[in-house]
Amino acid sequence: MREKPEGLLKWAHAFSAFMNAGDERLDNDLVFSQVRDADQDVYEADSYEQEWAEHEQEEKQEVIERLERWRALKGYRAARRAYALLCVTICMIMIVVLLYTVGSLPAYGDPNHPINNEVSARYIEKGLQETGAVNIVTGMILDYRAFDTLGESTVLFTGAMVVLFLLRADAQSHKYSALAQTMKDSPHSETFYEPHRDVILQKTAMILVPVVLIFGVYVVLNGHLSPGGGFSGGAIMGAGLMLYVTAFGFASIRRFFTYKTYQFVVLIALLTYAMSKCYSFYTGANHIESIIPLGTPGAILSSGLILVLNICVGFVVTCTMYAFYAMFRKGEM
Amino acid sequence: MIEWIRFILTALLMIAGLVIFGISTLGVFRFKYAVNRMHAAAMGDTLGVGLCLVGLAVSAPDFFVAAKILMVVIFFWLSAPVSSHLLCRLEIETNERLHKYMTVHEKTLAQEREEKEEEA
Repeated sequence: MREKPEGLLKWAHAFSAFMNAGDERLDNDLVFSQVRDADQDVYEADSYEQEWAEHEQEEKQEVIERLERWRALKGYRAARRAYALLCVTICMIMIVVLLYTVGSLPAYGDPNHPINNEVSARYIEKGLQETGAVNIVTGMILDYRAFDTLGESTVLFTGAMVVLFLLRADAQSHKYSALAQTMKDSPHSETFYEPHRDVILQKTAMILVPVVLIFGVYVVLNGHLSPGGGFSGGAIMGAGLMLYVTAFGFASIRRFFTYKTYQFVVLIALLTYAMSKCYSFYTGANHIESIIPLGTPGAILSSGLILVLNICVGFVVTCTMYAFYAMFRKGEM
Repeated sequence: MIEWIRFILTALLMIAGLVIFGISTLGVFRFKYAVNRMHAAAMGDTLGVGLCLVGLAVSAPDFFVAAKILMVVIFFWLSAPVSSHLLCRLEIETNERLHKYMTVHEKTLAQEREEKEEEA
């Protein structure tokens, strides 16, 4: 290539003219100019540039510009198209695989399939004896299907993480924090009209927040005895925290609940969940007797690991609810 | 006899609550201005819910169920007026054509905030 710049030049000229017909209006395109600036250094560093200097200056400039314009516009366009094509292909493959799997599943409501006779019968008949939970639903979701519930908690955690990535706008992490501060104080911002030390709201919250939090704790701890459990109790406690923030502001809640607390609590809760389920999977798969006693059904300290798992799920849900609220309202915790 | 009295009391309270709900729904759709409509909606949230739940509490089989229902009533009576207050306050703050509908003697939120900051 280096021996024959003329050939390349002609080829490039013809090619770019062919590819580029009618694209002159896009000269000032931002992407194009950025790419050109970035590539200018590469060309200058190359000795190729000096060989080209013997040729006519204008033509060279024009050809380079056309080539780069082609890469910047048509090239990006082609890459985007390839990306879209790839997305569609992968999605189609996934759809076909999943539909094929669904096709090989037993028919819905098939009376001869275990999921419709044996499994539900076993849950109802032996659920209390095997899990120790009076509430059969909790016994199912936190004992028989605890792995699924771990996945759900992780999904909540991941959702909160993604919202954090996208919306976090506090002083340390965000380059626009000065702008955000200015916007916050201006009467045209959304946060300006939020309740600002509203006396009626504060007095009501002083009565309601403790009650709501205690009720949430009750729902979490009684999950294996009565309807409720980690998810609903966590949602109630999260609502209590939101009410607290709305009434007293973020400065107050940071005295006991910060981003660090959030990270710590969620991490410990998910790890505890995973570790305790590891233990019970290990003992279950190897037919070892678990050392965790099931207790008397109906007592508050019964049903083995279910109470612990409920508390973990409750913590995760509380923190996630509050994190969502704080992120969407203010962009920080 | 006592069962019949309870039944009639429950029925009367429930019907009264449903009538209040009907009036409040009608008000929400009939009134033109936001604060008027909120007044109608808040009436359903407090009086309507209160009457219906007290009716349920009267017919409850034992004391603890009734106590739980009364707790729900207390919760509604605490929370619904406060949310109405916040919404009304937002409406007064943000509506620029407020003087067409009513006279407002309240300080604006901005003035109040300035005062609070001066105090602090």
